[in-house]
Amino acid sequence: MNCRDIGERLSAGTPLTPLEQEHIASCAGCRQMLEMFATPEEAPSRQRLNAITAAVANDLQPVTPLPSDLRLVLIALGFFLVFTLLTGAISGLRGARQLSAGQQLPYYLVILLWALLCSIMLVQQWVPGVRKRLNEMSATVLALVVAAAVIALLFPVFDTDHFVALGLPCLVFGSGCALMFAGVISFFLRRGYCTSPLQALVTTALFSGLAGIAVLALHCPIQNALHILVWHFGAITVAILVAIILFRITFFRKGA
Amino acid sequence: MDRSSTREPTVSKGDALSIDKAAGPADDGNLETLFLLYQAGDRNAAAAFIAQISGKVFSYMLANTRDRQQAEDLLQDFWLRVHKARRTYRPGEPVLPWIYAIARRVKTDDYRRRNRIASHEVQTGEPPERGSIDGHPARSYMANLLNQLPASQREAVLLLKVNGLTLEEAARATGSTVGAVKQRAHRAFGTLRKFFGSSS
Repeated sequence: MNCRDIGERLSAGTPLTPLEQEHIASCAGCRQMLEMFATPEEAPSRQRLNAITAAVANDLQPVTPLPSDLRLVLIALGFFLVFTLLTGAISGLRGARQLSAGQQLPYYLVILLWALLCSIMLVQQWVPGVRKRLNEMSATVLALVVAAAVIALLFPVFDTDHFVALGLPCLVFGSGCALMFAGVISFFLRRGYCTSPLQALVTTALFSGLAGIAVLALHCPIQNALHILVWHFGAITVAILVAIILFRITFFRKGA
Repeated sequence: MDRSSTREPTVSKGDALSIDKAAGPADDGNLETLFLLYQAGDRNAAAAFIAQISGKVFSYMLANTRDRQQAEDLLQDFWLRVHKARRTYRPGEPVLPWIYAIARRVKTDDYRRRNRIASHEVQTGEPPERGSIDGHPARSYMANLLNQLPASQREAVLLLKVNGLTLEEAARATGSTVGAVKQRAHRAFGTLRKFFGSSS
């Protein structure tokens, strides 16, 4: 038993064993470190506490708690599905009609699974103190790689004829859909509370960009992997840039 | 804190919350019950919840700011945000991670705001006298030592050892995993241990 073992036990947060307690009794350094943490809890002034209590009591209305994590994830996913199907139907399903069943299933399934990941990440960002089920960075990278691979396999065309002329309208349309989705989902997010504003904005932007990609997957008839990966996926880039600009404007105003 | 057992209040889900009022010890179950009643608009429960949680959060803010006045201001800001965000707490979830997640946000926002202001200000005279940290020498000593740790490690130690959260609760409060919190705490304790010299 040594001081390092005590450090491991303390970081595990479990009670000390008799052997560990014996070490602490004999080790002045470990004992002093533990005694340092045993300082009494501080209390704010009575005056301040009364002011806080009075302010809360003056504005006390019953509220309904948010639903469970699972229901929130399903609600977010539901928003996504309704928005993309409705917008796709209004703008025209030329893209979907061009695809065979063997192409539609993997293409739309990978987008749907990515949307599920985004929904989980969104709930993690907008409800304080939830159990973290996903590492956002790892999940996003994995989803991007898998989606890119599926698209490259399904549409193995990398033609660059009229690349920009054909691609820019898709980027504009997809980004527009992304921003519209962000506006729609903000009504859902208003009921939450984000503990990390930049992360929450980026997650929201990612989800919104994915909505743009999903609408384009239904609407755009161009079956060219390079076109899809650059111009359709570009909606995510635009959405994230807008999110970062919004963050800087909102949180970095002078004196704010 | 008095931990003598009292009759536990009962709460049922749905619109009609019923309670057999009891003061109760400040364990997690009691805190969660109090907060559910606070959500339902019960003034006494809100006051009791504020009374029970304020010491913990004030200690957390004080450990980070080392200034009583500032810590009290942050505490007030914290309760304002808790009040506005109270619907985001769900029955059955532990309440302490929810509380500390909001406290963390308050602390971070204040830190960023002060940095932004400091980068634009020009000192033209003597600054006003700051409210001092409490006179408890051990707490000042602890604050000095913790200040030498990286922010993430300092936070892990504060939440686990000073505020008494479990690993799971600290992980939820910081938006990270149990493994990450454990690793930060382990490194922090290793560094702190060096300040106290070798074992006898």
